[in-house]
Amino acid sequence: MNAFVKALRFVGDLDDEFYDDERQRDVWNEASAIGFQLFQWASLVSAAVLPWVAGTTGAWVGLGILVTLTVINVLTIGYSAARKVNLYTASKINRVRGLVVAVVLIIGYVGALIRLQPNTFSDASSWAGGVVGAVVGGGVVGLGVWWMRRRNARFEAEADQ
Amino acid sequence: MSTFTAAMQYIGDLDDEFYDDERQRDVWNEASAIGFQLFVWTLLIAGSVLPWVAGVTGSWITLGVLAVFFTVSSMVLMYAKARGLDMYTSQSLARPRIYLCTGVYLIAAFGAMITLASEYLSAGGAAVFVGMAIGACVGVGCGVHGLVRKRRLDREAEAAAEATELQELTKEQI
Repeated sequence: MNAFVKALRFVGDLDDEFYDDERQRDVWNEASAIGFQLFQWASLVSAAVLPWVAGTTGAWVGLGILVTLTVINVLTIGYSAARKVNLYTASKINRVRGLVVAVVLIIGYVGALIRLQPNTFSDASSWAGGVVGAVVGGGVVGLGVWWMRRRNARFEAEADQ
Repeated sequence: MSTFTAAMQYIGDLDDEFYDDERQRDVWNEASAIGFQLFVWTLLIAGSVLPWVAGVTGSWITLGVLAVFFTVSSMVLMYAKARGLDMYTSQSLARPRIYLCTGVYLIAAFGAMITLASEYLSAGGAAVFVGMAIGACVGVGCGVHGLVRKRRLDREAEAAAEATELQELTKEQI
């Protein structure tokens, strides 16, 4: 068991004697899975709404929520992958639920950016910067997709063996 | 299945075909339990720090954070209860982790209240005091109700265990 898995097991309190009872463990993990989703939806909806109802402060809070959400998701999915369940290959990403999540996420980010930089967007030089940023951002996403595909292929190859 | 349980299962996406594989289900639920705890601790720590570093604005955010924390935690506990698992009786509550969680929660709640009270009371309003008094009464009421309920559940669990034991003894004698 590596340090990452150990640290997350400590955070999740998974070695408590409460988990010795298999049914208790199963029900509580299922309830926690629901709680995890509830927190996710609460975060996504808050981040999408805050920039529009609470101005600049709301936009900063929204960005903070989205960053926190991303970090926690990466850690959770990372733990699952460390236990040999890759969420990207095991579940269908192209679903209505996934689409709704993506749309709400985009609304949150776009809302925060619009609220925080309205004057800069009207400046021509910032548009040039925006284009460069978009190219760099697109490149990062492309690299991410390429890396994920390679990793998924490796996971599937390992699973087939 | 009650409407509440069905709604929670829909939110948790528990009927997806991903869950048909028992190992996938087990690992992902365990990962989600960690994700849930990460959310809980992040919210509590953020809630306890914000009133001190971001003043009145931070205190309002803390109140929102605590409201989300309280609502989601209650729904999770209610779901577990609906599935026959009472977290108040099935785990030991006298643990450092529970004390720490309660301590951080109280720091967050009191930090926000003190900051907001000092802000709005300096403006001459007494409404905050009234709100705090009502909130304290509700809090004490909930606490007392929780203690009474826990004792009743403990008594019921003990009685049920004794009844089962008696039944088994009777069977053995027959």
